[in-house]
Amino acid sequence: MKVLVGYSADSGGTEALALGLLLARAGGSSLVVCTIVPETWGHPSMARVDAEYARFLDQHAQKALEKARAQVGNRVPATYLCRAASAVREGLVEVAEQEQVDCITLGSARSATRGHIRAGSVSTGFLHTAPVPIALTPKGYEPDSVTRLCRITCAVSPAAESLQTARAAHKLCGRLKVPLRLMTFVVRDRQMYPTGAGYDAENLVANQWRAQATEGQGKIIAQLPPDPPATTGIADGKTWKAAFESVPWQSGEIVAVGSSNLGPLLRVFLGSNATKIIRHATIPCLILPRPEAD
Amino acid sequence: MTRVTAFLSRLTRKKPIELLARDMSGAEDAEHQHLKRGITPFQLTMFGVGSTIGTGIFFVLSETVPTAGPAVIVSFLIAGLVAGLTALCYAEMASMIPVSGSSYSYAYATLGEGVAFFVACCLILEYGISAAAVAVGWSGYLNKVFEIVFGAGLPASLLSAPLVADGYSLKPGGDGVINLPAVILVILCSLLLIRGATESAKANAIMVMVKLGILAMFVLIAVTGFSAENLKPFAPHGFAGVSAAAGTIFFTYVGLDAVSTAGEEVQNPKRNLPIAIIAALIIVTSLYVLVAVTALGVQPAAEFGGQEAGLATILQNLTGSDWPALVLAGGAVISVFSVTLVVLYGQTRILFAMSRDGLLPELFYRVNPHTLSPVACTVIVAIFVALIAAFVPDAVLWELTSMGTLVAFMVVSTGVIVLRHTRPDMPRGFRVPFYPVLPLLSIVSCLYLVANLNRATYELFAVWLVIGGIFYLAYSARHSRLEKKAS
Repeated sequence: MKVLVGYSADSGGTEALALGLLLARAGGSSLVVCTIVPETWGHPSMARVDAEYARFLDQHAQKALEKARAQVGNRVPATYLCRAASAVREGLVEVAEQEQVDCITLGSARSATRGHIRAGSVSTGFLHTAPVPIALTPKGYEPDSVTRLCRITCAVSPAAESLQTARAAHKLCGRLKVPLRLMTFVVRDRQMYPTGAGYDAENLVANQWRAQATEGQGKIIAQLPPDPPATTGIADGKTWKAAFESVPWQSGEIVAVGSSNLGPLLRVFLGSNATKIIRHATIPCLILPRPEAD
Repeated sequence: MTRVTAFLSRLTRKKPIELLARDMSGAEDAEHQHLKRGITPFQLTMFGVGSTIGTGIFFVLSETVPTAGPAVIVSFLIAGLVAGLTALCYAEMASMIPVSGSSYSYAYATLGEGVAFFVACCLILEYGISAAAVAVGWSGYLNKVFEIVFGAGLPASLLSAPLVADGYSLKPGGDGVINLPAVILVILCSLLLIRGATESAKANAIMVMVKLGILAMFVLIAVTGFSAENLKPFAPHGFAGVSAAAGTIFFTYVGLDAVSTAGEEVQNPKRNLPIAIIAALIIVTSLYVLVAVTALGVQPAAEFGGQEAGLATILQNLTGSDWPALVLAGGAVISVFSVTLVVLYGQTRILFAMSRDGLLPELFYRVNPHTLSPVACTVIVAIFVALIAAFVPDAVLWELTSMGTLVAFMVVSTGVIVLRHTRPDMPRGFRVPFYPVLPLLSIVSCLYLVANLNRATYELFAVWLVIGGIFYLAYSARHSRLEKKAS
């Protein structure tokens, strides 16, 4: 599994690289660390200021990649690239296609709260177009050197397309040699005030949803190959945060979510529920493209 | 003989309270043994005020002043008194069960399946029909906003129902073809519910402020044009008129049960439930009476009949300027929207509960994995309510709502007395004062208001109950979740 790291010389770059390292080590595969610099004007100008600028950018990129080299060491085979592109996303997509990577890792926006994910301008664009899975890290993601990828938790629902998502995650687990956990979220934040139907009315709906979710997970598990092993869980709480906290998460675990079926095939397209999961996750999230139907 | 006893046992089987509690348990209940939300008395009062105001005061005068004359003020007081009595009785029943549900759930756990199904039939009138009635009233205010802002409203054919009440039945002959804005309102609210939108306690508090604000504005402006002459003759149709109007006006108090139903969710229910019920009732009744008195002081009773967007029109005529009417109509459009949302929500969740109990087909309780809400149930309710709002005149709807609500409360009040005898040991978070006088008074007063409703309302109600009864026999009795357990 070849991983492309969208690297920059800031905390976001360090996080993205840390996650890339985790994934590459699990898969026994290589890393492509790429930093994108702005394109300069192609034609030499009179005072050659653009050449000077280009030299500055190149030096800056080399310095950044040097830092990345130090972070990776010789733990996994890695190539280091610097690309000039008019937009970071464009540059990364180009590299991803050339290098035929399986996944792109990106750090959180600088404005993110520590421990949480917030997509920055680059990731936001990717979340609605990427051709390969996108992995986002929470702000300040820094697994220690002994941490290994230990499990992928895939968010599913009883909707038909969840089976495809679970299959994709299961396949990924097979390649990374980690177990899979299917998780459905039951969030009880929809009670109406006031109402004559009672202030526990929404629990009835949530409990029914929970029952449907459990049934749906059973059906998915039955259709997955036995290896690697898959378990199930229900994250249940009054808010998304509480639901997330209601189940145990391991360090070295990542959450996988599928793309909405409103988006194009084979592309990442984040739906509203997946957006909520990412917003409340405290571990890295992997967003899978919408798979082809059977 | 055995078939009769089997049928009777079906009618009287009760849903175990443990099962009810399990159905409605929250995420953390397993660990914390019912961690209570702890609704405060102030919040609870706001719930009562929020869900009550907006169901009728904006439209009901045009229907009831012709019936009662200026004595409609007395009708408001009578209806308020009845609402208070029934709310107190309901609060006792709600406090017997450790979860907060609808009167259907309470009846199922305490009085049995037959009574619960009957109550549910009444609740569909209280919620489904009142949602349609409220939507019809809303369309008048929306049109008023259009008239003021754009200089012209919608054509009359799109504003009112094609059917009219004719003594015993409905017949074609209304002014319009369809009440389009009402249909749009129902669809909009349903879409929001499908998407999972809800009103939080905070949003409710804001809505309450909007409603109190615009009604206070009405009172303050209208009082400047007050003329005592308009109040004479005070009761042109005597007490009969007053009573008849009170029956319809009871509709404006629907929603007060949002307080009673909180049951065990309130901190210290013994003290706070009656406080919140009475406080909400006093706020609502005094506002209603103030609005009625000032409106009656401004224009002669004869002018109320058939007035669309009544309160806004009164302000327009009085001040000769558009903006007070616009503010009022705009406020009404917003707040009635929120009431429609709340009422439709209630309807979908009651049907959801019934289908979970097996009394309605499974379709009603399937949760859609994308929206995480019961989409099919919401769509069915939306179609049903939108059709009624489109084609049935509002006066019929108000009376039907009053009928359903009053009968449901009569059952609840009777239930309180029955349960004091059959289940004296059950803990009650709240007990009605002056037992048995108060529940008896509640029953008698409901009967009195019901007796004053139209014959047409009786007929429609009877037809509805027959449909419900047939459905129960043909489907619900056999598919009940309790049935499966027994076999």
